[in-house]
Amino acid sequence: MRKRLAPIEYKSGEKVLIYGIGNVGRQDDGLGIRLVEKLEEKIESSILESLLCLEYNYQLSIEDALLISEFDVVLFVDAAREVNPCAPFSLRPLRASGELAFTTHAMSFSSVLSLCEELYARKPRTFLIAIPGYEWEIAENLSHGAGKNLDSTLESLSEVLAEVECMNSH
Amino acid sequence: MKRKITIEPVTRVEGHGKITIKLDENDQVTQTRLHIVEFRGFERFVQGRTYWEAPVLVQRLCGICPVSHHLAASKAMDHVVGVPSRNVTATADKTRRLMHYGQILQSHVVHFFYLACPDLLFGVESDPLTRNISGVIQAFPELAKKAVLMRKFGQEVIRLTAGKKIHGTGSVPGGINKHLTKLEGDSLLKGTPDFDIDVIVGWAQEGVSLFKDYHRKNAKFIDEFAAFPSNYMSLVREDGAMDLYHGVLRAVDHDGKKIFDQVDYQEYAEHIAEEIENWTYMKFPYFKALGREKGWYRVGPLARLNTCDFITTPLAQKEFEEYRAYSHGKITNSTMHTHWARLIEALHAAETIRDLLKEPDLYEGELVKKGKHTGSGVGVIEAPRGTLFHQYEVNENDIITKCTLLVSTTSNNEGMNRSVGWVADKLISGKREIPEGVLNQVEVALRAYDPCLSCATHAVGQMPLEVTLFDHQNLLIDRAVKNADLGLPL
Repeated sequence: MRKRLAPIEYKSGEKVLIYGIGNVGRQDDGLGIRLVEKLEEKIESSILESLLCLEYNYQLSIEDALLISEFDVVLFVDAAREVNPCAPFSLRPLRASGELAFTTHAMSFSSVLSLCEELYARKPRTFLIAIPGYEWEIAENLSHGAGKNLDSTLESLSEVLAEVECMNSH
Repeated sequence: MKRKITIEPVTRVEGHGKITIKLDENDQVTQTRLHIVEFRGFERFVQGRTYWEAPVLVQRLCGICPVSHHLAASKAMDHVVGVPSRNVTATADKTRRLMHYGQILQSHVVHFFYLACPDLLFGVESDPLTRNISGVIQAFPELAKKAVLMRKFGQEVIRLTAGKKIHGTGSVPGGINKHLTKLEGDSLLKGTPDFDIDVIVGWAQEGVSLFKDYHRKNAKFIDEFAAFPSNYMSLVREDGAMDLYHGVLRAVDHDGKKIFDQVDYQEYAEHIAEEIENWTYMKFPYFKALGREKGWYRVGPLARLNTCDFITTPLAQKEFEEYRAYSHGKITNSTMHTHWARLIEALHAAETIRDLLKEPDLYEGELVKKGKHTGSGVGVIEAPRGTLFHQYEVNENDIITKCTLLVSTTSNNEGMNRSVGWVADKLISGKREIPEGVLNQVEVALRAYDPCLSCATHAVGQMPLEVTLFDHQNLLIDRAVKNADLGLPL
């Protein structure tokens, strides 16, 4: 089952960041990074290379506020446990919040957005692509279901990026 | 009536902890326990892999300080390949040090400015809705921006020395696998038009000054909050200097008297044992010479400034002298002085990075040495949170057959338990409810240790902080939840 990334509004010339987070040493937790790695292999368009930035990390931290401030559209990609199990991924807009997570260096999406707004007065349109995962043990392989979800998400995201390329090719 | 209070942060898939506090019939605290799930199964994950994979694999243990695990594993494997870490080439030693001090700088900066500052600026009894990053930004906007750039700088040091942003490969058994290029070194020395390494050093000094100013106005709180005597341990250089990358083990008691010194960390197991309790997965390490009851110890910035005799970089040494003078030349048992110590270490890290970047050895020279394989090795490093031990056994086919880790948060287990106990005794004894202030102050007490509880997966959808209160029959009679806002639509 494919799902288009319809809620994402995009205007020609806007810069896009796709940012995968996770730990590939914890099976499906690495879905976000796996997606970005596959996109890196797939994208050859010079148009996209000038507008699109691919990033990944274990988790978000304070300098990511500065990073996202440089883009118009930001797509975070992460594994998810509690999403619609029938869909290969879900797409949700994110909002800013300054709430502090409990005793950790890792930041939530909302805290990074909040930092970006407060420090750099920038509000990129930001979304979370949440890909369902099922297994979280200390191992490097994705579960079968997560692998299928990854492929479907990649296909849908590729269609969106093709549209972005088309819009910027004129 | 006996009651049980549970403070339960359900964080990641693993890596979560909870706090239970038991009251007696007169509502006095009788027992406090911090339960933490640590790295279950990771040792087994490494077993069966070739030894040269370990420095890369172990970075998947923790997204907070992967560099520390990368280097600790490398140092253990140095010994396995017959090249003890003190014998690696100057190029390898200095490049690893640069990587490590980049990690120390970025970690300490994030911790102080973004985790500890809200507690200090707004007070431990303030509303969590205002005790947050936004509050810090409003109070110190320029400082908040500087902290972002310092963290980014530290990450860039790591990327250039480790070769990658995550899962770096720069350090290998017996040395390193690449030189820093002059262009890369210059990019760090000269930075951007906004800042260079000298500016970073200046900002680190500002951090220390900020704390000292706060301390002058709030000395009683900083000196007394969750303070208690303990033993301390860290690596030090053989001459007693602070050395966060390599050295010998030194332990001192609450008065600064040496328990052991000049211990080769290959022999750490002769001095340290661990005890298991049936109520937590986290073990309780202790010095064998003193036994479990009296031999528990703390590690980390507070311990390191208690064990070392001096600091090798001038600005940090000056701050260290002031720090020691405040305690009349003795060591300090004030838990909140950990923040002060952490900032002095951040300054030391910035100075060290500046000095290392000017070393010609970084840009040329032999990368790796080879020796005769030994079949086993211990690697130790002073991670941001404290002493980190990696121990491996490798068979004749180069396969890891055993892996043992002793991480700094484990070494601080007893200290964290006692800190929570201090708060509980002060605030809960005699009360029949869970005031919000208790939750805040437990967080403040634990945060001084910068415990690493997020060493596991982090799938979206979890991270509330829950407090539950049970009666003597374990019936829920009170509950408070602090949800981490993930930024998702309600």
